Amino acid sequence: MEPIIAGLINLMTIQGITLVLLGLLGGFFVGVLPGFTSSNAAAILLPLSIYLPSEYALILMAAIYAGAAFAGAVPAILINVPGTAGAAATALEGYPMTRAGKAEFAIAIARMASAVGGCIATLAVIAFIQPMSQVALTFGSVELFIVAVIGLLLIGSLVGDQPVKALIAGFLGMLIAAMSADPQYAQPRLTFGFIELYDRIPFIPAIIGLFGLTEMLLLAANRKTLLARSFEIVAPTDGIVQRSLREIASSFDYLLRRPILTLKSTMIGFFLGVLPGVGVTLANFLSYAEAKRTSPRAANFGKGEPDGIVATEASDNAVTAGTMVPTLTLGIPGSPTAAVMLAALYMHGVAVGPQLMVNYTLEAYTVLWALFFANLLIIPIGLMVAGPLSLVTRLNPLFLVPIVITLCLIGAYAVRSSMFDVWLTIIFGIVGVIFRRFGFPVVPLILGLVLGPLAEANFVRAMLLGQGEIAYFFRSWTAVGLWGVVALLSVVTVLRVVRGRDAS
Amino acid sequence: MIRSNVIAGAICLSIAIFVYWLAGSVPAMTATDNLGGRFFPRLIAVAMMIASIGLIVTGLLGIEISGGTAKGGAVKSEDDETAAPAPEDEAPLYFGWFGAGELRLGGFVVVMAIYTMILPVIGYIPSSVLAFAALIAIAGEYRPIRVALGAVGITALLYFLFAIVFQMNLPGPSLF
Repeated sequence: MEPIIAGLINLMTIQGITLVLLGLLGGFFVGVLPGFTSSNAAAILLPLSIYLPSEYALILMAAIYAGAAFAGAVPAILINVPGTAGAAATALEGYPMTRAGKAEFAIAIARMASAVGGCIATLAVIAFIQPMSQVALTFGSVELFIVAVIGLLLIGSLVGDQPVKALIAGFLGMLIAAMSADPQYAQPRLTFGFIELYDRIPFIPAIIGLFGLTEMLLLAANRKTLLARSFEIVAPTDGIVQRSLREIASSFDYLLRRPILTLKSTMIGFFLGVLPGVGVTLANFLSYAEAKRTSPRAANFGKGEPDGIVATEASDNAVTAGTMVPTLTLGIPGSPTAAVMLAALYMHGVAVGPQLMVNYTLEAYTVLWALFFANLLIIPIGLMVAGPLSLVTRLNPLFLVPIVITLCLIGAYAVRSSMFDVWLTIIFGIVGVIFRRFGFPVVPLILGLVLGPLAEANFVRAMLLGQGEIAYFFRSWTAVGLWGVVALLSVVTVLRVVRGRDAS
Repeated sequence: MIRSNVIAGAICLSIAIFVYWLAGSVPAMTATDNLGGRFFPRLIAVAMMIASIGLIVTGLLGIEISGGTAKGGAVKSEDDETAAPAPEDEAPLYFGWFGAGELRLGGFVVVMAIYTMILPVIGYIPSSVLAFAALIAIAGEYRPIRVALGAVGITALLYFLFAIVFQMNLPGPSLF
């Protein structure tokens, strides 16, 4: 209990609260802007965060994460173009509500559901992360190796629409991570003579290139601009205080009358968020499908049913909390934004993995509280900036793209004052563009970069400890249980491929 | 046949074979060393070869293996970001084999590469002004005064942010 309170007190400083507010506003901005995700924003901010203490950098990123998760719903509801992946299902009900003249109510429901779902899920993480990390602490090299295998299988079984492409991307990430000195004898391998690679491909240029630069290059190619034709809908010019209070009251009342739907959607988001790399889209569509299946007004779904928005938005923000669990207990990113947060930890010299919750307990709880307050503040801040938010969708990338590209390149340079890192950023940016053009997901590549060294180091260690005996890989009941999960996920992967082939 | 899958699979297969071959040059430390530095990259390379062959074969047979993830709407996803064209997207223009978008993307990459080359030679400010002017022009703003003002303004803004606010090390000129 003590570290939980200490984390709360640690956040309650002027700097802490200011960073939550700044991050939330930044998250709103990128969430509304189609073609931009919280991971892009966090990746671009990554080099700047080196000048902040590690927990402040993470506070900023956590708040961006929460803000973007809600704000993606605004363009989804107003113009049927989701600002983030998590808002895709929201558009199914939100846009029909806008067409029926209920845009205000739809946004109010989305705001309240995001806040409630996010807060409940974050409180659950705060309450249970310590016991979970205790379990993670019992993991030896065998168990950690199996966890890495599970992460790899999750790529194939659950990530995205293309399991084979996702697996290839994951393997490629692991191969890129293998371009280093090998962990056993420190022999350079696949380094092409670059001494900079001996300590592995630096994670930060990879993240900045794959998220920030790729996005900007694609934006430049498409020259997307979006029309926000609904500014006046969400920017009332008179009676704003009364109307704001009325909106908060009515949306809160709406959720109170649907406690099971809200809790169920939150739980779906939370548990799918815990699985690394699964992605928010799956959680949202599952929540949406479950709400539709159990709703007495199932016939209204697709025509502007607010219950659909409650389901998708509550699970959307719950996912952000869920992703913190593998990130903080195992050092495996639960989502792209969590991967950027891990990169920030690497940058500050923090050893990630099961020891993180022991050595950096205060920082971990501070970040979790930041996520909680960011979710809570979505209600008032989201209400205040609703009008300007919709204007963001009018931004012309003519100047935005050059600015962000330079931010990416100079940012990559600034971390180690290395031009090599700038070249790497460009290469990863191009790789990201090629990936997207051929329909390969980028997230498994990042997971591969993280899982590769984890799998290799622990596999080699386990083989040495077990003197090459395969039986050593079944040394504990935990290991046996984890192998059971591996078997289950293998079956799911095969079934998914077979079913996908049949469907085509 | 799904041509893009076949091409992508062939490229990935080539990469995997190349890595497998390259990993063979990692020296083994002892005569009985089966788990030296070459083992892991080769293991992953083999797995990638199998997956790539799967992609090629299914591509040749015209089978698109799409998993069971629910889909819907125009979605910009963190793991599959293929957003539908926005209402205000420009009309597609083609110059020979390439569309205007591809040419612009190529132009951006070339400018980034040149920028990275000249950055340590002439320093942050002159190289950034030149790079910004080129990027803004490629992005579609051709009016010289706006290009010049934009390039100088953005360079100054980022210099203020990086060098003054965050006191970062910016690349200095080695030429002067």
